[in-house]
Amino acid sequence: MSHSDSFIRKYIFSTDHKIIGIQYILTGLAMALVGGTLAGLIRLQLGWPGLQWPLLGKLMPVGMPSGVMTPEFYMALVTMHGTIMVFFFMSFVLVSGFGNYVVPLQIGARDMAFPLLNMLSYWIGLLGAIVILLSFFVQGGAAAAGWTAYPPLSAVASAMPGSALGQTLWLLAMALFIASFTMSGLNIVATVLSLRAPGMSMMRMPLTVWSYFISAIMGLLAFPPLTAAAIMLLFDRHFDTSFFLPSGLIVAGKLLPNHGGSPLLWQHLFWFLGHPEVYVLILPALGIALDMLPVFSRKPVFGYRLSVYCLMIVAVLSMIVWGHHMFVSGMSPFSGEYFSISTMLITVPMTIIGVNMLGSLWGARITLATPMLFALGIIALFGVGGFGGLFLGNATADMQLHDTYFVVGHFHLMIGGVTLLGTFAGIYYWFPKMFGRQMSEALGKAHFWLTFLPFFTVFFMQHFVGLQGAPRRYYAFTTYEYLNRTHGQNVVISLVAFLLMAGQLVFALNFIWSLVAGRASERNPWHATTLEWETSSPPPHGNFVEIPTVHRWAYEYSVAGEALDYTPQTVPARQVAVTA
Amino acid sequence: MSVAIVFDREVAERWHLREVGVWMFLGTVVMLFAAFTSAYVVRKSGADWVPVHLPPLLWLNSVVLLASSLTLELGRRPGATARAASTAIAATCGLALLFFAGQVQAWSTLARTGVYLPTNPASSFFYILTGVHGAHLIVAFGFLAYLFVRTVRRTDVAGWPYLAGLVSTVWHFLTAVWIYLLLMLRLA
Repeated sequence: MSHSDSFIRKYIFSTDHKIIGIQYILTGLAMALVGGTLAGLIRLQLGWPGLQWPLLGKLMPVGMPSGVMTPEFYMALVTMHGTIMVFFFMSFVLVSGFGNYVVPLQIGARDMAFPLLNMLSYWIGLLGAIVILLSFFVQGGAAAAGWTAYPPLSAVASAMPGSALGQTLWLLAMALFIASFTMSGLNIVATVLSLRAPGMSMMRMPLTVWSYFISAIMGLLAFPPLTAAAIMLLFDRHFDTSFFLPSGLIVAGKLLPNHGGSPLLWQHLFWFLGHPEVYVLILPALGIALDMLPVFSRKPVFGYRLSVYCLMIVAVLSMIVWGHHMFVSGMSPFSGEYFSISTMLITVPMTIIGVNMLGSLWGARITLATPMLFALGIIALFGVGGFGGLFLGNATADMQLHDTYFVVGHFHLMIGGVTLLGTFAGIYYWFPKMFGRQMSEALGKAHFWLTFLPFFTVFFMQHFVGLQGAPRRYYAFTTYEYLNRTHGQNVVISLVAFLLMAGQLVFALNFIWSLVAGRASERNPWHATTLEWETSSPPPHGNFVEIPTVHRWAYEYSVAGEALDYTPQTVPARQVAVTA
Repeated sequence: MSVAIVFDREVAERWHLREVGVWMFLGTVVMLFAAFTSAYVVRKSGADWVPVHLPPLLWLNSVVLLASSLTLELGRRPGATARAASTAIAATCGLALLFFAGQVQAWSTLARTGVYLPTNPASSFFYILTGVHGAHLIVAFGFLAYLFVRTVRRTDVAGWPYLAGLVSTVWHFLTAVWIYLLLMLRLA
């Protein structure tokens, strides 16, 4: 399939899903750099509260006058770190990035269903990212009401500096992000439903595709309620309506005119999105891990159908458990009981997925290549993080743990760690496909250990800081005597966090060096069975010279009596027996 | 010229894809209004809720919008001549504009009686729900106008029935959403 375009049409305003996928990935990685820097500043404050950092004072004279961080700036850092990491890093790279790049290739399509919409989706998403970055530089600084944007902090412009223009820009950026994410989700769903290659039945799709398909449907259903809430919040902020603002609210010595609104209404609408969003991000990471385990263990995935059904059940249950984020909001004990039970229910399919991952390793010839290390890391973090979730999903235990560092540790292991490792697994695995070059294995392995160990240490320790009663979002733990004993732990956490950040330099070096001078990759370097490896690396415009025909599932490894230990999905049954 | 007789497999597949996309998008719109409904029900339980006396004009507007759906169906019915289709779709556009004008008039009627956006939660919901629905309808009107142009110019005859089908799906959906919103505002 011949194709010639100008550089700008081909690489900038491209409608090719592969270029758009790479654009998303690179933009998301750049945003991770910002989000990570914010995390560094947060750790600096928590490790050494009140200490002067003259150089930082010069760089950020408003947030850190004379080198000491202000509480308002700290709140903005926490808010923007969460927002950027969840929406503009993880969603960009893992969901929209790999979703764009991998899904059409793995189902044997030439492109996404709506290429123009796809391009529009990226540019609107990029605009959202630019708006959120610009919000640091407006009067009052960036939004500071938390990534959950709870009113009244988010609804009253005079509540704190970040509640002014920064919060409005936060809402604008989120509106752009939601529009972009919706377009991306529509594309993934329509592509999977309509553009599968001949023979690619739904139950022959790789689990990666299943996870993206389900995650996209969840995103499409969960984001609109946040849109509705954001519209109402915008009206509360600028047009004196009272959806979320109660009566008698006095801010900066002034009685607000609002009356009767319910801040809890926002919380319900936010978490109706917020909780499924966790799964929108985690499912693709699990799908990627489930698909990598067979490649590097040379045996079929364990429990394919069960994993598909569990992904579906998780998707359904995730839409009805949002209240477990609000156990201390004064909800009736009966509601709390319901949300506890439904949350516990979700652990059943999640555990089955975890067991299927372990089952895939049973009796296998494991190769510890870099993508496999990250996939194994996902199992570890998924297990430990999930265990913490058992406590938080239980209303009785959550009453004690709510808004402590136990929660921070838990969700970082899950929505932070599982997805981060999934992202890196994906990058190392598909880098040869994207750029036709291999990343350095030595640097990759060093990067894995410099990511996994510090990440686990930081957030595992935070569970224990939380158990000692340390609340999240506090600017410093110097006011209350009972928290003094956490100071040493916070210093250690901060030091390990800096090691984690330094470890990412290894990745940056590997990524850039491999792009420029990496060893040329063969077409199918991992000897994998899925369709993306049946075309050249990088694939041509239109992906395949001829649309492939699929004859089997994606996990045909080590078929008895065959010379090769893998059978691509395109090999007909008359050549190699179909085992599933 | 009859407008719905040409069949081309490739065209059919392309439009099928768009149909899937449109239905998925309508799913997101359902969730948007479901969230507004949920917020409406919760907020309505507040002590400060004062029901809005809906302007009677809204009922007439509803009839106009329903009529626009009817004319759109007449325009795209199999066997309709190009001229009949153009006339019916032009009538749909006219009725749509009448609906917009009617909605603005209803807003101004309410405002004249001193019921503004922030007056009470019921009025806030009234303005926002009608506004959000109107915003969706304006976008749909863009597609309706495009359909009209395509009908008059008689280009891409093979794709026309599919385009008309998709536009009518969206338009009827938004008509249904309006009827739902009106009943909710009136009864709930």
